[in-house]
Formats: sequence, C-alpha cells, structure tokens
Amino acid sequence: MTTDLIHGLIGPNGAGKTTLLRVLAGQLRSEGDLTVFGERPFDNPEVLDRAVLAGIDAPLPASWPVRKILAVGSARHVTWDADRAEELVTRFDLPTGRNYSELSRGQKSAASLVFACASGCELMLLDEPYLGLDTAKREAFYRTIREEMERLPRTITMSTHHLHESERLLDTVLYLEDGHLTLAGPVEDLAEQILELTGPAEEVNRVISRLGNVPELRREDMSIGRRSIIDLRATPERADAAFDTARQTGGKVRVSEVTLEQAVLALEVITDEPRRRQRPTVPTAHAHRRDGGVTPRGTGDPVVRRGLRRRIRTGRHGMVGGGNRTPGPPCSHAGALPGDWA
Amino acid sequence: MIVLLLLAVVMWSLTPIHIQPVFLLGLVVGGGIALLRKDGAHQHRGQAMPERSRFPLTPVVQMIREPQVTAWAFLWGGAPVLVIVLGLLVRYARLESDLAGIFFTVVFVQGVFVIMGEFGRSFREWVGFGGHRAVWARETAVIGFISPVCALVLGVLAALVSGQLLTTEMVVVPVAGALLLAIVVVLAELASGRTWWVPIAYVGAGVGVVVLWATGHLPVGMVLASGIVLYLLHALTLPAVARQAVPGSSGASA
Repeated sequence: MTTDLIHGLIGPNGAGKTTLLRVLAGQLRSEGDLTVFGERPFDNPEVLDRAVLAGIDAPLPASWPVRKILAVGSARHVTWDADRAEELVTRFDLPTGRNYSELSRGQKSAASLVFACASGCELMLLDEPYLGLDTAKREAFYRTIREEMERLPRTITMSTHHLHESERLLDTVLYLEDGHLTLAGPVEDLAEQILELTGPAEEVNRVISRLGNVPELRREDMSIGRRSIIDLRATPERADAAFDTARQTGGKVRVSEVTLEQAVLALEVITDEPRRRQRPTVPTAHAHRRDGGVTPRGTGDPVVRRGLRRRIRTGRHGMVGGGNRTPGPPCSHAGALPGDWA
Repeated sequence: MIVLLLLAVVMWSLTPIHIQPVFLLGLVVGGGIALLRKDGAHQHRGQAMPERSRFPLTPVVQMIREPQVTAWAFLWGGAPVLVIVLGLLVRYARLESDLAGIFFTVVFVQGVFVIMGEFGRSFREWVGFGGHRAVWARETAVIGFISPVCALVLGVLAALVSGQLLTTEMVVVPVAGALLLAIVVVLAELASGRTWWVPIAYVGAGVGVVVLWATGHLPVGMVLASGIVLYLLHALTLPAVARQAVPGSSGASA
C-alpha cells in the first residue's frame, strides 16, 4: 500500500478485513512476512505510535465520556490536533459528556473517526467507519476524509462495503476473500479495464470476438439485447480498440466503463467458483516489488505503476512519503494470510 | 449520599467495639472506591469541553493504574466489610458460622472474577489504544503488590482487634496467599490457547508449598520466600505472556 493514498479494503463478511486492520495496527500477531513502516507491526512501538485503528469494531473505552477519550488521546499521540478534534465534534454533533457505551451506533462511528483524524497518525486504519451514520453525517464523513488528505497527507486504509459511495474517495482497492488477496489495484484502472458492452447479442459477440480472447465476466440477456462485462486487465491496450470496434457497429453496441461496485460484483462471480475449487494450489495473490510495496500478481506490476504514475502526473498524490515522512510504503505483505484469520 | 451516611452511622453503632476499626477501614476503602468511580461529567453536545480528572489524563494512569488499583481496593476493601456484615448476622441474626464461611467464600470468589474482568478490560483498552504490551505488564506487576500489602495490613488489624497475639503465620500465610492471588488473577485473565497452563502451574506450585508447610517439611519463612520468588518470576515473564494474549477473546472472565 503506497503512502498518501486512500486504500479500500473490500470483501465479503468474514473475509478477514477487521483482522487484517488489527494486524496492520500492531494489535494482533500475524504469520508470514508483513511490514508496516518497514517494521514488523505486532506490539512494535515504532508502528503503534504512528498508526491508529478506528471503527465500532475497535471500540474506545466504554465507560469513558467522549471528552475524556479525547483528552487521553491527546496525551497518547504527540501529533494530536485539539482544534481539529473540536471542529469534528461540532460537525458530528457529538455529546462529549456522554459515555461511549451510551452513544448510538452512528455516534460511536463518529467518535472513532474524530479520534482517528485528531490523532494525526500517518497511518489511519478505518474499519467500516460509516456504520450507523445517517445520510448527512455520511456526507460529512466523506468530506472529513477528503479534508484530512488535503490537510495532512497520510495513508488511509478503509474497510468498506459501500463501494458506490466510497468510489469517489478511494485510490486503490484490495479485495480480500477468506484471508486471500484476490484483487488489488487502482480504482481508475479497474473502471477503465472492466467494460460493459450493450447491444444486440450478435453484435456484442462480434465485438468481443474482434477483441480477441478477452474474459467475459458476466453476460445478461435482456429483451432489448445483451449486456456483457469484459475484463481487459490482462490486455489493457485493447480498451481503445473496444471503443473503436463498437463505433464501427454504427452505434448498435455501446461500450461504457463500469462502476467500482459493478466491477467488483462481476469479478466476485467469475473468481469465486474456480478459486474455491483450487484453493490449495492458488498462489499468493501478490508479490514483493523491489521497493517493498505490494503488487497484485494477477494484474502485473505495470498496472499498479501506471495507475500511480497517472496520479503523480496530475499532481493529486505523491507516490511515496517525502521529507520527514516514511521513506517507503507504509505496509507490505508477502505470504497468504493465515487461514484462521477469517 | 445522606442515606448512605445514615446507614453507615447505624451500622457503626451496631458494630461490636472491637470490630469497629476494621469497619472504619472498610468504610474508608469503600468510600475511596466510590469517589474514584464517581462520574461528575456533565453533558455538552457538540462541544469538546476540557476533561477534568483527579488523576492525570494519561493512558497509563487512566487505563492501567486507576482501574487496577480500584479493582484491588474493591477486593481487599470489600472483604473486611463482608466479614463485619457476616459477623453481625452471626451475632444478632443467629446465622450459622459455617454458612457464613461458605457465603464469604462464594462472594469472595465472585469478587475475584469481577476484578479479573477489570484486568481484562484494562488490557483490552490499553492494546486498543495502541499501547505497548510490555508497559502494561510492567505496571500490572508493580500494582499487583497492593494485594500482599493489603493482606498484611488486614492480617495485622485482625490480630489487633481480636486481641490475639500476632504470630508469624498470621502475617506470612495471608501475604503469600495474596501474592499467589495477584499472579493467578492476571494470568488467568490473559490465558490464551498457548498459555492456559501458566496460571495452573503457579497454582500447582502454590499448593505444593502449602502442603509442604502443612506437613512440616517447610518452615513458615520459606512459604513467604516461595511466594516472593513466584511473584518475581511472574513479573519477569508477564511481558511474554501479554504478547501471547488476544485482547477481548481470551481470559477466564470472558
């Protein structure tokens, strides 16, 4: 996971997302070769002092009022920003005199988020941070995360099931299933390389056959024609060809990029059965890059690098930390997650 | 508060004169616990008012020292109060003394489980706050000395109020027992799949020492020395045990 980006950790319930976040935060022991800030995270003060885990599955002291949690938090983290804490308490309308255990689900999520943002930690690990938040507060949540990245660029890893809402926020996604990383890469690339073709069935088939042997993730026959989702991650150079070929049909076939949610859903369907059958022989879904980051083996190194280069060109994010920040990616992991994590 | 004070005065007047110092101790400890736990927080919505506390608002104090000291005070302050209440019932309500003994044991064991839960909570919150486990282990080992100190004070007080001559056994045995209690309470709460045998090993060693002493194979001084050695061993190995523990999912009180 590259620094100064927002990473989405997605996957079905019980896949091990919360466990992975706790491992990254140094709170749980792990097997295999996992490093955060270049160090093994478990119970390591170097990591514990620079990472914060928040979410209602990582509860704050139940019997403490919110303002006591914030006061002790300011003593815990040298990078604590009291003004930011106060600003966010107001924004989320938190009752600071009420004990954490007495807060509603949404208020607990908000309290966790306030704590994480005010901590100033370089690595923010958010475990489904939107749970229980109403629509307005959820909007405030996304605004807060965007502000955080502008205010103090940092690495945020967020487990989420709300792909539709999170898509605007995420830079990369990591799909975790049953303790295995099955998909990893920039969101933009996913959207650009997984395309939806709609039109008369024979025309859609013709376009797909002209593109060569590209995997068809999903096919749906409707009264008005066929809808196919194709996967160009292995052959991203064919994306332009897909649009050109569709244009040659005289507008009968329409090609469009899919949303992150659609892409993940399509990939889930296609990867689920074969992967389940081949579980013991499936290789680890990622390998070490030379710089210590994580590379998805299935998509190949260039996919990750190109996506990141695009961001650097647009000046949106730095690739690795600079100045006094960590000289390298905050987290890397090699080796499958142990089976009993899920 | 006024009702509680009136109740204390009534209880005081009913208490036999030679038990009154112990009653007073129980009252002071109980009052201390109540003050520590008192939450004077007023609700302020949407405003991060500064928190005030009797103790420094640091993670070590608030998550380790305060809850653990309170837990030991609850156990060793509650025990004499219970003894006095049961003594009153035996004297005035004709409660069978054997029954009172069983009742005391049951309540004391319950109290032990309550404080084990407090230790588990302290550990869970500390780790959840990103605390280093070695710090928790070191603080916990030091705070654990409250248990033998309380046992020593209560033993001496009991000897004084009962008018008995203070013997070595009256000091050594409760202190050694309190040391073992401090070990087992913490280790049983941290026990995980890999470390479940550790508290059992300490209990086994403690029982062995008691058996040797009871059968005359070990002088009473050695009982205390064994307790101290076991406690030091516990203090040295506690960081390693804490690293094995899984917060929230291990422990006898879970």
